[in-house]
Amino acid sequence: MIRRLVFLVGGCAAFALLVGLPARHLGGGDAAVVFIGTALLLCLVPAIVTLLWGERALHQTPDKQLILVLGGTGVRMFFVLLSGGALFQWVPYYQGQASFLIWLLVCYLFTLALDMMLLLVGRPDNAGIGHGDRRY
Amino acid sequence: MFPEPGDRRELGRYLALSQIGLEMVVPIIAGLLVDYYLGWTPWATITGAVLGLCGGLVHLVHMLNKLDAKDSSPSDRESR
Repeated sequence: MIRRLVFLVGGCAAFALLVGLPARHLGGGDAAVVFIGTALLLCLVPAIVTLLWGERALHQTPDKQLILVLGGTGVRMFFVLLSGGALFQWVPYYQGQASFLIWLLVCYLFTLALDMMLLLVGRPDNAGIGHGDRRY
Repeated sequence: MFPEPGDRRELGRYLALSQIGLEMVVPIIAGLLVDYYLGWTPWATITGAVLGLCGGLVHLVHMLNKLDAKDSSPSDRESR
């Protein structure tokens, strides 16, 4: 579990470096780095929560798994939309900055995919627990 | 000193995941470049992010199928 969390946080940090630096040099300036950092933080917090939540869900019955994983996705979307919208509306630095919303979308997609990957790769079947129980 | 075989397998899995993560980042950077040089801001970046997500997930599914095939022994398959 700790490894997966480290991978998630490290992956986001690598993403910030790999995308933030080109964005800064390609006309985004320092604002692009700040926007990417903020957007990643906004997405990372619910991603960690849903990873922990999903980890628990994977040990439940299949119907509960679906509810918990979909619920986690809903919580994440709600948190990111609400906090991103609040920053966009009320915080002067982010107010009316469309590029912040674009970076929020890009970071959301990236963290969503990273979270899904970690959840799928960490399935109990792949870890050897309950091996052979899977039905297709 | 050296990682255990189980750890090595997991390490390999995380390396494959890193590769998928990179595959997701490359289209975004390409989108940034296209936006900068062709002045399409922000559409190429958004398209790159969506393409990266789709490509990454497709690669992930392929990787998981491969892992499943490797994990399930022939005797397992016969009993199903």
